[in-house]
Amino acid sequence: MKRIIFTIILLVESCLLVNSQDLLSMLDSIQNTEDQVLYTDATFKSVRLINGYTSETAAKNELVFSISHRFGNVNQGIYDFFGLDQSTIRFGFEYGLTDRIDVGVGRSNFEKIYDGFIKVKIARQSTGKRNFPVTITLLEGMSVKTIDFAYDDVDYPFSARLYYVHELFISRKFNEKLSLQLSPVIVHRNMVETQNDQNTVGAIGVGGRYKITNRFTCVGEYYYLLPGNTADNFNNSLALGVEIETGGHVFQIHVTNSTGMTEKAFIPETTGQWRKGDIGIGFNIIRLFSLK
Amino acid sequence: MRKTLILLLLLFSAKQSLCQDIYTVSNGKVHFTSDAPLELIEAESDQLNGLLKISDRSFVFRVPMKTFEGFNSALQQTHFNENYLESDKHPYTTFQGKIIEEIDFNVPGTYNVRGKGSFTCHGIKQERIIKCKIVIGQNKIKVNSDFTVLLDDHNIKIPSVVSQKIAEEILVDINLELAPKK
Repeated sequence: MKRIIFTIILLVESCLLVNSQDLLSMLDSIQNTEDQVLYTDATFKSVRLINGYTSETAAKNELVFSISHRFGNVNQGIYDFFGLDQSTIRFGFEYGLTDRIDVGVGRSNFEKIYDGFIKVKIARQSTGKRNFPVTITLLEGMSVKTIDFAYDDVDYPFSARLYYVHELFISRKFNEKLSLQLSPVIVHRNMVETQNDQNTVGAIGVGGRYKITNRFTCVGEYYYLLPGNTADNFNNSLALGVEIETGGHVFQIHVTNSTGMTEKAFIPETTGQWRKGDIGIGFNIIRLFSLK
Repeated sequence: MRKTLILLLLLFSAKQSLCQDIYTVSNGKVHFTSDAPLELIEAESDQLNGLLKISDRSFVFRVPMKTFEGFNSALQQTHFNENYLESDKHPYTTFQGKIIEEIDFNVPGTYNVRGKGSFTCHGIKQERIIKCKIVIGQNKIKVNSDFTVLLDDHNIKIPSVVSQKIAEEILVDINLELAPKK
């Protein structure tokens, strides 16, 4: 008899336990995100930070069209309307082959450069079942300088016009507002101006964004040249700006001491100095088209 | 001894039915439509989950916002999570409450009922009464419902430049199947 009473108590108890449990907390135990891999998205607003790129790639079947302008230096005063009389332009396209691989082409009036590249997202920042702290994207690019050489009596081979860039973007979205990026880069130039110049230049880029509101962001980018002749004779590129997003557009307005918009131009060939006021206003307009 | 056995059996069956008090979603889909003058946007998630306790007719249903797929572009999905729903801050949309009508879940059939409770989306809680159709079968409950969600009710702000592309009222339809919780 005692055993029966005990059983009854046990049964009633176990049912009461289920009844008193809060439905929401019970749901938490069924529906948890621990067993799913959650990829971090939108580390940056677009594929471009300022002069350089970001770890973001164009999504599959997405076409990114960008128009970039860099005006002359503001220290030229009112005669040149603070640099706005001169402008360097680059327009480019970037197209997503898959969600992790995209290809791009561009043309800049700076030394009449054509450039092409491929970006591959090697690893993605994720939480949940698989925890990975950073997104890593590899960029392999090439550019051709098509402007006439200063001395047309010398017959330079075509290869003398070629430039290569190998860059790795390692980024982390720390929280909803802050994302930072580290980008080691190697620029190789087949031919350089003088014997003192290095053909291969290494640099480390750091950059980031901080969201003020959902559609307004502050951005910054700095490329530090690794010690060598180039670092002695040229300046590190620094750019600071803001980003405004409206629907499918991203507007980036910034100031920078670099004139060119391809890696070959702004990493090893920046001559402007911030403290002398050799900075120019620039903007990028980035428009996304979905070609699904 | 025989009496004891019968009593025990009765108790076990009672426990069985008592513990089948809770039903869980075995298959749940949410689909929404934003029908604006310039653009039609649709997305769907099959990760709707939830529980229904038939003894007191209380329920909780929710869907993780990041599981919505469809949209017209990958960018739109990003904007949905980043700019409008802020899915990192508010990962779920939840509806928790009670069924108003006292229906007998042991009798198979189709019932039109109303669920009353708090509907939380984008972190903003609204008291809602949502109509739905329930089909009770053998160890299976099907639920169908259509309702609308006003963006303004949940403090989801649409910038004026895209106001012609996103509807102020979002049409939602859900489709789910419940089975006894194991």
